[in-house]
Amino acid sequence: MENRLKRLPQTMNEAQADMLSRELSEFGEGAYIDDNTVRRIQSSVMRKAGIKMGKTDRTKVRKGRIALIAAAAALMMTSVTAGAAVIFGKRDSVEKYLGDSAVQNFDTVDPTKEETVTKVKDGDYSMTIDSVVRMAGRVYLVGVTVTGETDAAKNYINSIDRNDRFNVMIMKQGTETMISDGQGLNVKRSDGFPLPEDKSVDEYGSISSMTDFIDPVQTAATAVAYLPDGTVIKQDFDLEAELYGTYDTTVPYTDKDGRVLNVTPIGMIFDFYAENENSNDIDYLEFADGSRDDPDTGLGFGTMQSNESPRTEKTAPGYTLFWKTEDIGSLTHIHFFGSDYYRQ
Amino acid sequence: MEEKKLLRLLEQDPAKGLEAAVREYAAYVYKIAHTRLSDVCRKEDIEEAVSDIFVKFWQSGQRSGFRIRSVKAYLAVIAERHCIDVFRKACRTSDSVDYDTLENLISDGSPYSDIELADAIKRLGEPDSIILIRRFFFGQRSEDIGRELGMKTNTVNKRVSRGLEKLRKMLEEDM
Repeated sequence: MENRLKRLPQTMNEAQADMLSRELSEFGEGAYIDDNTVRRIQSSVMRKAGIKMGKTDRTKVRKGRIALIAAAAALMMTSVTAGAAVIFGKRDSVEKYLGDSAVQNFDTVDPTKEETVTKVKDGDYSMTIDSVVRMAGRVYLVGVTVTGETDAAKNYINSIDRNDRFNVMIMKQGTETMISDGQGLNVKRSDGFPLPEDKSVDEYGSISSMTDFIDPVQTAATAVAYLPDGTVIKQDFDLEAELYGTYDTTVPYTDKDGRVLNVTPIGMIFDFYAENENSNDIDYLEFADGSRDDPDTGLGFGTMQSNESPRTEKTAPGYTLFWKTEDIGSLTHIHFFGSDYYRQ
Repeated sequence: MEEKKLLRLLEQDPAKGLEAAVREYAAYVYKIAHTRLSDVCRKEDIEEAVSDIFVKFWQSGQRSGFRIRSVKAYLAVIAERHCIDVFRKACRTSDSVDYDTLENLISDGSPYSDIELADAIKRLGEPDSIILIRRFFFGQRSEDIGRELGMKTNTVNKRVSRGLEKLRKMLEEDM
């Protein structure tokens, strides 16, 4: 029996592997290798496969950024409506619902913003303003990354205390407006965003993210970081990014009886509700490529019903909000409460 | 990244898909390779094995159009096969290796099929199914299994022993 089990790897086919996928996957839980090793392996694989690698700089920061972008998105959602705050309060893990897809979609939509890098302090470390995206025509999400390759830079970055802050100021008609956690307009060090607790999880430094509403006519902004040694780093960035283009406002999906399902994209999350409906019964979403997701199996899919409607236009007491980390541009069809709703 | 999305990416843009697959599963494959090869290979050789595994995964996937259900399970099988090959080669050049680890290459003439065996393992239920897969499929030591699953080594050994017995009975009853 033992020998037979040991021989499984050599005789097992795909169907048998699928049958034991839970057991095989479980072995990887908690597996960890450092980013340097991942990069070396990645480089070796791509070389052997005859593929030119993408930008490794992006790769090295993305891994650590995922949770932070997700956390920032959560902040954004709490800023959007009180109802959304309740919803996120029900989540045990924001990352579980947003996952990598949020970040990757940001990259896809707004790649140019990741390239903005300002070198400071004799090249020891650098600060990057990235993921500057406009959401729903009014909300921006900003990621700030400090990275360093040298030992001195790494030591310095890891010495930055969680209580140190990043501040982002928006220039509007000559007046600086600081983005902070939905409050505080005075420019002072204590009003910014604290660094994440896991800032030193990798050797590439610290990452901070922040969000807020910004007037959609804004076209320019300056990010300012106050670092522990007194250094003040400023970087201008552009707020022209059009994340959703024509989908930056509520998109109606209608059924054959003319009922409307309003879908609102907020970042890579979209929510929708049916006016005068009182159900949280969604069957599936269908995307342009023909694929379907349903709430039972779709990762990153959540539902919540609240009796406290966060929307003034809501007329029924029941309110259903769904969210999914997909680009609404690819969402063609919603099967909801027994009816088919199509984008017009 | 969700497996479904990764598979879609692998289909649509194999290069980006491969890059994403490595990023996502390098730690998993490394652990598989390290478990099998740490006694006979240097760190650099293990990394080399890991990169070879991903290349094989990619080549095999391209042939099948990545029509697979579980990337992890697929990778696990490819990784184990490759590591056994590497292990055998390493053993040929080393006198200090215990050849008992290669028992898996010896047929025991069992009358049941692999699919029946996989089904029986599944029916054992957790944690026994997980322990047997870790011990025999991945070749993990009992003390390492115990440490990772929060059990004493003795407990792991007992569960392995009882699990094997249960498995044998289940397969006999099925026949």
